[in-house]
Amino acid sequence: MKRLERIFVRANGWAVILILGAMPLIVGANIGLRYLTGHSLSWADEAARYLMIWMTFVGAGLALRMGAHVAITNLQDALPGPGQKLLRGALVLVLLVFFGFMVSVGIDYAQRMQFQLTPALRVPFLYVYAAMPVGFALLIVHLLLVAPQFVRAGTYKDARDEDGGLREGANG
Amino acid sequence: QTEVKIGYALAPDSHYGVAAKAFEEAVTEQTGDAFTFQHFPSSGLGGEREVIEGLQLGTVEATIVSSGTLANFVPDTGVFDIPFLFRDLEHARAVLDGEIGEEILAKFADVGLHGLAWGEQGFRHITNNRNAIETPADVEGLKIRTMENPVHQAAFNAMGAAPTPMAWPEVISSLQQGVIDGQENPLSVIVSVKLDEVQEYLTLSGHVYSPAMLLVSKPFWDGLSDEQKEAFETAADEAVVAMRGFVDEVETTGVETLKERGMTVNELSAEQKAQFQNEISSAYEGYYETYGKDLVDSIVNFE
Amino acid sequence: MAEILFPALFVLLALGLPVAFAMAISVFVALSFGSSYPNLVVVKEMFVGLDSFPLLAVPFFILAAEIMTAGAVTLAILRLAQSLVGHLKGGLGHANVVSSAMFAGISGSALADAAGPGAMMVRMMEKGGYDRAYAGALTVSSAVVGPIIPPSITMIIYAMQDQEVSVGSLFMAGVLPGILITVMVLLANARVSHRRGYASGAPMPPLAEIGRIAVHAMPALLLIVLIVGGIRFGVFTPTEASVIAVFYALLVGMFVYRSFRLRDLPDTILRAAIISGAVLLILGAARAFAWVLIIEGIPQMLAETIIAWDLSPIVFLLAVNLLLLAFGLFMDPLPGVMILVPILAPISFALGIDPDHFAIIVIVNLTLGLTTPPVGSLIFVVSSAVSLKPSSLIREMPPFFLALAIALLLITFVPALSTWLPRVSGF
Ligand code: NA
Ligand code: NA
Repeated sequence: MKRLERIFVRANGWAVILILGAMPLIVGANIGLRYLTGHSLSWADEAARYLMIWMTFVGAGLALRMGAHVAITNLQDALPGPGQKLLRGALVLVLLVFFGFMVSVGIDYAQRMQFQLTPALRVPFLYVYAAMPVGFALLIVHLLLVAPQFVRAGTYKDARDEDGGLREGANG
Repeated sequence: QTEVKIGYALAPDSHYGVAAKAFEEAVTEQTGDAFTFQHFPSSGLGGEREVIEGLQLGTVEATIVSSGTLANFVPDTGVFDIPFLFRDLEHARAVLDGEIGEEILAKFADVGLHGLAWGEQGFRHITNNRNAIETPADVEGLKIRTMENPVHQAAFNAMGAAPTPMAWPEVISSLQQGVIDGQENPLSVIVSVKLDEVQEYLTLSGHVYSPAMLLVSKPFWDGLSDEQKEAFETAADEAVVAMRGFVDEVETTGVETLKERGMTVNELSAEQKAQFQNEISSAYEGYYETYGKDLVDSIVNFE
Repeated sequence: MAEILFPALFVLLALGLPVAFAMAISVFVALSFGSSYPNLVVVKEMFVGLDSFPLLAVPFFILAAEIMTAGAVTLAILRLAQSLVGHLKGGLGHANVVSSAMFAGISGSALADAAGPGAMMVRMMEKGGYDRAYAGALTVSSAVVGPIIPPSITMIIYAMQDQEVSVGSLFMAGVLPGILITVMVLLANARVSHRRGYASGAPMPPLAEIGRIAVHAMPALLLIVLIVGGIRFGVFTPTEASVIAVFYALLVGMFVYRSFRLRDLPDTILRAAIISGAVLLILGAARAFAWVLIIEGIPQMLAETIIAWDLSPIVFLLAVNLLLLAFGLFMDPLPGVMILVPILAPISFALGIDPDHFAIIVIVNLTLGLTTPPVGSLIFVVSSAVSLKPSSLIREMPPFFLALAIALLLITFVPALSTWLPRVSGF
């Protein structure tokens, strides 16, 4: 089980690394081409944008795992121990329902838009919009994996708090 | 009372705004107070693509959009984006109002939309800061912003320019700072966003005709009675009259306005245009492949 | 819908749901119970919020900063700051503030500023005899310049909400206000250090030594010159600048500081992706939130009401300062920009206020919200990074609140601070 979890997290991580790794290469190549040859790739900007959308959703579960989604914990911290656990348990339930809902609505939306083509690459928008149901499905798995620890102690897995944590870049 | 939310990308005093207003007035005149209109100009509901998606979902009832975006939904629409396809406004309007235009309009029913009528933005012209443009040699290496439209980009690549697809919010400051040399748009846009403040040369190249379309949401359309549908059809025709009238007006006064504001203006003669057309013949091979030689030829040869 | 939207958001936030999810859920609730619109709107508008080319600068600037700061660069900046101001009274504190300003030229956010050199400086200051809580409060206050001095994520998002400004002009506009804030925080530190007798740091090194240290820090500091200069002279757009920053950071990290190895790359990219993904998710959710307000016609309604009051620009700006400071008590800058700018910017434009000036006022205000309880992310990041109780850090904040308030008033009443540089740069 632990091993499966490790493989899952690593695979998810590499997906995100490849996506963000590709983005500067694509945009950079386009800038270089324009300055060197005077031509540019019509699909470069579009591809980078849609990769960014995939990065956002596919990375959301990992961000949750590491506690990188900013939340306000004042009320939680003010409650007595058992109350804290109860509240965090309720939060997990709310999030599970919400994530499940997003998966189903996201699939519905992607299917409705499947006949629309992207301007430059001419691929169906289905492949862009699929990012959301995929991302929220991953979020469900990650949430279930961190839920026991989160409800018990209010902490996350792999949070690298000692070197500043992953909250540093978020939100401002 | 049914609410009609109508969204468009330009300001209330643009050709889109004028058409939307005329549309509202004509509908109200025929149906009394059955419909109330709420306008969302200046991309208030998001970009054109997003508003069309809103129509498909039924969250927005009506929109006026340019052809570039429409090609995402009905690829055949892209045929009108081919450079040097139309001789003049008359030619373009006749094709769109005729059988070819009707056929493409009808295809929007397959994607959850109802196309009411073809409008227009007018012909697109080139502005830049490097030099006046008379021959294809003048655009050699010119860093020109184009829409994210493969048909346009193929043409500028074939001319030897360096087309740079760029999101509109970055365009003005990029022209100002010299990241790009020029851009291309209809006169209505050039005048209303005051491109003369950041551009020196205007070449009336008329390289591409830009149609627009008045669309309503299919779920909304299907819920209308027959009389209401007819009212909307006639109102759309009146909106198109208003839009074309606006474009005609800008085609004449816009050039004067831009000259007064200090731009250097030149117009391509028929011979000069033929030179450009020749220059992009390689791109035409691609267009034939995408849209069919028959369709392209039937538009070019339309009398 | 709006009458359900806001209460739902506040309840969900207070319960401790992450900001992005709280916003999306409150939109769902408002759509389901207060309207006939389909739930699909949430999905659609989240994509609308994300599908934008200028937005690519967010992950790219974050990635560049992550590559840059993997070790030696932060140290080089700290050493330079210390050699310049360390010998003054309260010198370590001054070095903290100056290094924050220099670091702001690399990073795009206040939290990165605080977590980077900030945490390291707190430990150094404590060793030098400062109160840890005071050092923390100083770090929080000086990190405010992170999104004011370019590059800036907040400015990128702002430019997308207001057609009257561009990322390039805002980057220029932020430089002088950023320096002003730095100077005000330095003055506050000087005063407190004097009163409490905080000593000076090491004696000032000889000029040749300072020169050597400066040369060592130069490749890092050149990044801001590259970004601002490149945009100023029209070599590239801000989005392109962000990509160039990534490659520049990679070259400098690998070949100049030799602190970055290729095998560090996957982990660094992953970190940047997760941080920027969290930012982008909030943006998407905030767009869905803003959609409800737009479709209800609330921005126009508010604009018409406020314009009808016929306020003078000065009174309007003061009112905006109060509104934004109140908003910033509870809200972080990015959702603040997404929700408030479409409402406020057109009004200020109608009143004849310079759009760049107004943007800086909004951004400074909302960023100050990061330093105020109850919801102040800077306070939480710094206090958790240096193991402090937030309450003890907050007790040390008053002199800095005063300094920052004076800076804010100067920025509000002296438009030239924000507009002079963009104007002479041709924006
Ligand atoms: Na910065
Ligand atoms: Na706050």
